[in-house]
Amino acid sequence: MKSTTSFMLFAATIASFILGIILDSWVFIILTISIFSVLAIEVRGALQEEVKLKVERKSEKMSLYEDDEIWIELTIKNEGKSLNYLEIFDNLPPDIDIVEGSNHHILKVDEDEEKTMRYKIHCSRRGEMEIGPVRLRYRDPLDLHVEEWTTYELMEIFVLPEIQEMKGVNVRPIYTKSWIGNIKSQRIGIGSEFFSLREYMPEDALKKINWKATARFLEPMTNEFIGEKSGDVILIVDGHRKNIIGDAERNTLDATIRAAGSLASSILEDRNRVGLIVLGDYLRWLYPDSGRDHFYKIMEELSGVKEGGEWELEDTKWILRGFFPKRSMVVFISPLLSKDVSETLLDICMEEHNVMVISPDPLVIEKEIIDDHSPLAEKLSQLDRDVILDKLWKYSVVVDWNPNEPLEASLKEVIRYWRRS
Amino acid sequence: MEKKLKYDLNKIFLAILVLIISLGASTALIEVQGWWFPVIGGVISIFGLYLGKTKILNLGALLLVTSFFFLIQGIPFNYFNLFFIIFAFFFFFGLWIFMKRELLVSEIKNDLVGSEGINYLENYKKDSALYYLKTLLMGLLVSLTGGMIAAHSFIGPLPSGMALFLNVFFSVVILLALYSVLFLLPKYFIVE
Repeated sequence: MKSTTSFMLFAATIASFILGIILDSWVFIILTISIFSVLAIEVRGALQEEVKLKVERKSEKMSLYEDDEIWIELTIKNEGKSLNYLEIFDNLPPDIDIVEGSNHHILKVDEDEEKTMRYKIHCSRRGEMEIGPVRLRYRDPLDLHVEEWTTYELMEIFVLPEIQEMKGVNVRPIYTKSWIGNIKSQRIGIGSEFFSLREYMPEDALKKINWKATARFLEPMTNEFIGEKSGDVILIVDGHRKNIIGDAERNTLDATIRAAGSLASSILEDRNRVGLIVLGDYLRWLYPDSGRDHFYKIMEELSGVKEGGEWELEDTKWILRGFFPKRSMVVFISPLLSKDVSETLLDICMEEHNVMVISPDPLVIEKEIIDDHSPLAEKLSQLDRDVILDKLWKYSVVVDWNPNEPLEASLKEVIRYWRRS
Repeated sequence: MEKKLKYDLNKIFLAILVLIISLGASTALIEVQGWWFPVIGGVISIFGLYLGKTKILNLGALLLVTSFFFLIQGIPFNYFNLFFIIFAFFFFFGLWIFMKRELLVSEIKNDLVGSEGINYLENYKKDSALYYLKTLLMGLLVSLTGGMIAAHSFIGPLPSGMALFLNVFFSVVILLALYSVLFLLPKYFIVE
């Protein structure tokens, strides 16, 4: 393919020749010869053979947390003839910044040679990021011959929402299920805390025999333990448009998602099962499960959440009723800007779920982004919020969370009060 | 120690060169009505170079070259002037392609953070500079040969019409024949 420069030079040759004839000037004729000589010599810059390039992209990990950095490695293998001036551009989404190296290079790749370009990226926003395609361009230094290709070598990276450590607080469901966990149940079972002694049964393991008691009663006695069980927790993330306040950098949706991620991590570590329902651009849900893989599934779902206007809390009732296990703990995370959630939450309570509401305070975010806020309006909004929170306290545990502070502190305080009462 | 590139120094050098040429041309044309033409061309080129816009750079270069024609209008035909015209052409052409290279290097440099991968750019700068010099020298050689052939064909006032066309046509054919013998044919005899 010829470039604009070669077209310009070719046009200059013709123009110079015509001017030479019209103006009867030897200067233009000599210039015609000079420009033509450049064009003729530059034939050597054109690609002589078909280009055979193999492009591969590698990364140390496929998912990372917000504000993390990773190295991306792009390897180009030339399976054809030597290429002297190969320009490479690896396309990046706008939310990704390069902190070291570059995604744009010009290099020489010899026959059967492999070249690697590395760059480190910083991901400031959660989401599903697609890196690629790779655009390749051969151009001779004079820019007379240009060839371009696009290699659809794509890579998906999940930028997971940032999570907070919550070591000192345990969000535990009231109702436990039959599988083993960390919650002490009211029944005898597998656990670590001693409950009572009973007579030895032939199927009892030897390590369960209480030798001191056996010596005292002169017959074999076995220890019995408090059964440690686990339960199901269903996180409902509110991503409805009318419940979002803030700008692209700082908003209630991001705070809600971070809270959900932190809770999921803490609850799963406590050996409970966690399910997820997201009311966002579309309705996403994950059936309760446990383990590390399930945690990453939850985080990947959360990373892709976008605000939406279709789905409301009301719509989760049929999912909870039809697909999720009964007697679970439902944690609804929302800034509570719409007043009609209380009735739906009451309905959920009636269906034998215990409900917790975590509400990132929208007023804190609003105050940060609006310079000139009216104290009266602020007071009225606070009153509205207090009314909703008071209403919800009647049948659920409510955590009024300041997103600027760790969630752990707010949760700890509320859970302590709830257990005491 | 972190390796630092001297792109800005290259840019400053090229800008000063363009400014000197344009001011020199304006001084030579001071008594002519369009004496400001080369300065405008030069300034536009420098703007193009610093803004990283190829189109502005090309426009400035075109204006500068056009003003050069004002300077040499009516120049008599002899061997000295023939060499002068060819050398001037290759000087302008070299300046233009070096400025264009500087734009590409700046673009890649702007995308680069830290020193990772800087060696690719350094290698490109070295390779392309050699390539330019080779091209310019080869072009100069071929043009001088072609110019000499053309000069031998028509010393004196230019013939008109078909004779002129044939002169140029034959010159170009001889030029191509020379070029193919010198540069293209050896490739077919080299056995790897």
